[in-house]
Amino acid sequence: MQTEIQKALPSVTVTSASDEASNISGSLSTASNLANSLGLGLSIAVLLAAFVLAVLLTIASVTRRVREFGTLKAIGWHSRRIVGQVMGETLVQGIVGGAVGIGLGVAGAFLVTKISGPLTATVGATGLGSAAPAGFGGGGGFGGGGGGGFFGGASPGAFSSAPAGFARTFAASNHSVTLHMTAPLSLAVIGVAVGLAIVGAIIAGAIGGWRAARLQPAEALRRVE
Amino acid sequence: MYELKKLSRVYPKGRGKVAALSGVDLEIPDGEFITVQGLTGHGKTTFLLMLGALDKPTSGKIIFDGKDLGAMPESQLVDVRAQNFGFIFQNYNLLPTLTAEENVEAALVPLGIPTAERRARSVAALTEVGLGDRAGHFPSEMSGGEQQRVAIARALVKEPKVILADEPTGNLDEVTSLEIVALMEKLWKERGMTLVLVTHDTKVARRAPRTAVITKGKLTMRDNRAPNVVAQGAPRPKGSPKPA
Repeated sequence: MQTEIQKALPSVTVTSASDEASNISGSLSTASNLANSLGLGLSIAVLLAAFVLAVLLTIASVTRRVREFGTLKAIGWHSRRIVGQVMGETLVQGIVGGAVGIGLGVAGAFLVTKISGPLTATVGATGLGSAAPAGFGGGGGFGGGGGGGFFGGASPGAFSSAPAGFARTFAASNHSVTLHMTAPLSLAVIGVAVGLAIVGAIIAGAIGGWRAARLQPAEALRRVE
Repeated sequence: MYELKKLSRVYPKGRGKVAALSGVDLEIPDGEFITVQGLTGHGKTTFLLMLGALDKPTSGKIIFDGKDLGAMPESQLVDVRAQNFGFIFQNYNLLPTLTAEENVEAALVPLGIPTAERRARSVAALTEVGLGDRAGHFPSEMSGGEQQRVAIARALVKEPKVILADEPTGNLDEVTSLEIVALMEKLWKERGMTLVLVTHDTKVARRAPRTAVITKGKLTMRDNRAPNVVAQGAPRPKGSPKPA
């Protein structure tokens, strides 16, 4: 049909519904990649901020307890024992914090799955103008995908349904696509979370312990609390 | 035994320097009880920190049992402190998150003593200072006098050669101060260790046979058995009480 119209009206550019659908799905794919990259970047930034915060809090704790460490040195504690003490404390805090974080994450994922309603995109029969909402309907899935893992499973499904939705939009009259937001959890995700909490605690403990070990006992004991 | 030879400690202060101790010569025989007096900022605490191997001299020597503490690396000084010195501080310096027994036990940790023995010795030390029934209490649940008794137990539990006390009664009322000093004197006599006690209180200072008076970093010795005699680095006077 496109070829026939093009022949009849050579000065007019004729675009088929499938071309339009292809253009739109291509844009959505780009948006999806962008959202996923942004989500990954944000996750890394938040992770780094958490590590830096843990280190700063540990250093602040060491500074506050400077007389305590000075006293331990005065009664004969080696620096390595003090480093071990600080690292042990931060490790326990990291494990407890990780456990609490995982608990909150699981609860949040459960709530998201339970509370969030389905996202529905309705594509009208009038061509491109009505096709746009279908793209944004799928966009809900992409947003979830950028959230850092919980919605990762929803994104590909949402996106893969979009081109099909468009295809049907231009072939048929009206079409609705319903997306259910879920927050899938896996042991791998939980394992990574625990691992990061422990790594963060070890880094913070090592830096805090190093600062505590460097304290001169006389200087530490002279500090006014 | 301590031998201090031309001991000096200079601290940088702004663009200049301050001599906290200057050319100090002194001998402290084993088992002696000496007190240290002087105005605030004249070098008393620096003197005590030197005796406790917590600070190093700028020049001169501080020899303890034949070893020059000023020439030893920190890694060795830690062991010297762990085995030989017990510290008592004005602010008690107890670890607030540990019970009285755990605070005392902390002094035995560096010595590699088994846990069961550490606990038994800690309870015994607390009993000796009259706090056997408070072993499970935290410092925040104790009075100042009781906290200082815990600190004394912590200093004594490892049976050190030397007890170094930096104004141990500085934060206590008069009655409690006298109790604490009497307790320290009793333990000194019973155990035969060297006791060096920094104090502002002249009454307390005169309980020792000799007092080191530090003025602007310079040290002179006062014989409390003959108060008018001042002799720098003088040996223990005859007739002064010897530890049992």
